[in-house]
Amino acid sequence: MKKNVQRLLFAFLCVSLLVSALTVGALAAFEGDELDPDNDPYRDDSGHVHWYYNSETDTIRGLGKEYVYYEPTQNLLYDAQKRYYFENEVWVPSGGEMPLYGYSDNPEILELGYWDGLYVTEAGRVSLDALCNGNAATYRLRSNSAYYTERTEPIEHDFVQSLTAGTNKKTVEVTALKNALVCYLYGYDGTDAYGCAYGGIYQLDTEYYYIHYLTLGNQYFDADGNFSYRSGTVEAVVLDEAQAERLTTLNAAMDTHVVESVWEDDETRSGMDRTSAAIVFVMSVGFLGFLVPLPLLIVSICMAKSRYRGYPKYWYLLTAVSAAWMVVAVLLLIVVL
Amino acid sequence: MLKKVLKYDMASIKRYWWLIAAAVLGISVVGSLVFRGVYLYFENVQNSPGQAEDIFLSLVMMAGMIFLFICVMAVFSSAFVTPVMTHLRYYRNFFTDEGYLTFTLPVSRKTLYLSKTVNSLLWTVAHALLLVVAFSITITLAPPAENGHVLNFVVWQGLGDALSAAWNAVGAWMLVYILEGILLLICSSAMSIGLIQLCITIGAVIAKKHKLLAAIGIYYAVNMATSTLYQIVFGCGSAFLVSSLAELLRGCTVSEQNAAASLILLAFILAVAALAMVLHFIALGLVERRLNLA
Repeated sequence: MKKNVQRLLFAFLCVSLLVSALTVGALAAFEGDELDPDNDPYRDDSGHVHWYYNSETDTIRGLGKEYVYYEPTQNLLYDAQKRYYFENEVWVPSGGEMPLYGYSDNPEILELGYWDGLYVTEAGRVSLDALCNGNAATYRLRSNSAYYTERTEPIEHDFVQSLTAGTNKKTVEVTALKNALVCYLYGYDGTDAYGCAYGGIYQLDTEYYYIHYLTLGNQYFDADGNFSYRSGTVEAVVLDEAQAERLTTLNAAMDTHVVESVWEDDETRSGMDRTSAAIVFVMSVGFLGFLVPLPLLIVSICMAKSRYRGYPKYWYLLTAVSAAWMVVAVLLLIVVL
Repeated sequence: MLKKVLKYDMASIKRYWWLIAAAVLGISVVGSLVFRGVYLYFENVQNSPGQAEDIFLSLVMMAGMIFLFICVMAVFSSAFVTPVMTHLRYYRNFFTDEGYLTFTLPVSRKTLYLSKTVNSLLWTVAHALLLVVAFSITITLAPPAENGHVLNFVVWQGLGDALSAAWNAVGAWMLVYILEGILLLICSSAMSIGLIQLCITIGAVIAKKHKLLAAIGIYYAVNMATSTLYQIVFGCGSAFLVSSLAELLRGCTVSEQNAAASLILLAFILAVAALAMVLHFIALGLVERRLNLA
């Protein structure tokens, strides 16, 4: 018995040394990311961007850039892949402390509060001006659902051109279009963050109609800037067979669009840089994935071979489970590191 | 021999389990229909004027809600009946006068013990499926359907949308997660059954009288000890693991993130399985060597 205990302890010591050696080796092989510079002038001690609002010029300064208030001439829709919430807020006279967010961590277009105002750099202004004037960088079809958003990948400019410049036109009653909307044609700016409804595609009986909103006068829109179905007539482009077929294909290819929310606080200075995280991770996996199942492995092997304890099959099953546990821990280290 | 012993173990539970199953399904149907009836009655007459009618409607609605709540509680409370039956069978078959006959059978104690464990596990799974069916009946019958249809599939459509959204998010990894979820449920059930059987065994070995009371006391003590140990070993370790993992996976692809998550879940399943086996061995060792029915 004493000899068996000694053997067990010796085996435990050997495996512990092996695990430690593997841990050191894994850490040596791991290359951490470069750390952010501590003396970033645009950020506070926590790594969050500092924002300054100038009430005289109605501008916001941050990230080394100046953002000027922008009043769009069309209804714009925030339709980016991501909404990045900055941690620091700005104080404005009209609304007090207000949050800022953008489509990335270094945007050309900032949103103050929730639709309280757009602030843009020169590049952002050029991008939005082009969008509002009908010169979008990309186009997509967007669904009409009130519950979720579906949209296509960017569609070809030629198809859009064929819709907007179509010659086969027809005058239709707007009241007939009320429940006939198939989808919207949206233009997007150069940052791919903001969209503008350029037109709507409608289906009446078996024909598809396209109405280009940008060429219509104010009388066709309600107070919120949405196309009005109250009364009157409008000239619509009738889609031909090829366009209808292309539309059907695009409509079927629509995919759900979800805006990913990212908080600056989660991304910056979370208290653990990658090297520290790697050390903690390897130690945690080493403890939970090696040191905890190791006694089970050793005991099960000893018991299976012991003359005094029966059922070697059961003990070997426990050996297999413990070994599998350690193998999974190794795989986890490989996958993550 | 395991199949034969298991057959009789299962037959002894089946006699009463079908009654419980019928009662559970019946309560689900009745409770759902009563709720629907009350809800429709409330909708049809809610515009009636007068304070007296309003108070009556509120009382009717409240009575319907309370009845449905009682039905739901009764259904979920039934989940305790099956384990009680199976563990009582274990106790009676091993540690009471029946044990004298049981251990004279030409079957090894290992097989007898394994049969009890498998029997408990199978009936636990059966009851879990029963609860799923009861829940399905409730969510299909209770909410009133449009156009006077009997069945309402709105909740099912919502579940379908949720699954579809989950599939869009993680893709084929969802199948892996579902499989691992099922394995985890089975291993957790096995561990729980093993722990209770171990406590009953220790109670029977230690106490000469009031073995069940001793078993219950031992169960609470062992449960507290294992919970504390679990918190120390896995709780602290996994807190560090999760926070460091979140940082390291930040720049990884979706596949790598899902692979890491599934591996962690698999490791957890193996840990629970190992613990279940250890409990099984300890209880089996006690039954083999320490049990004295004299």
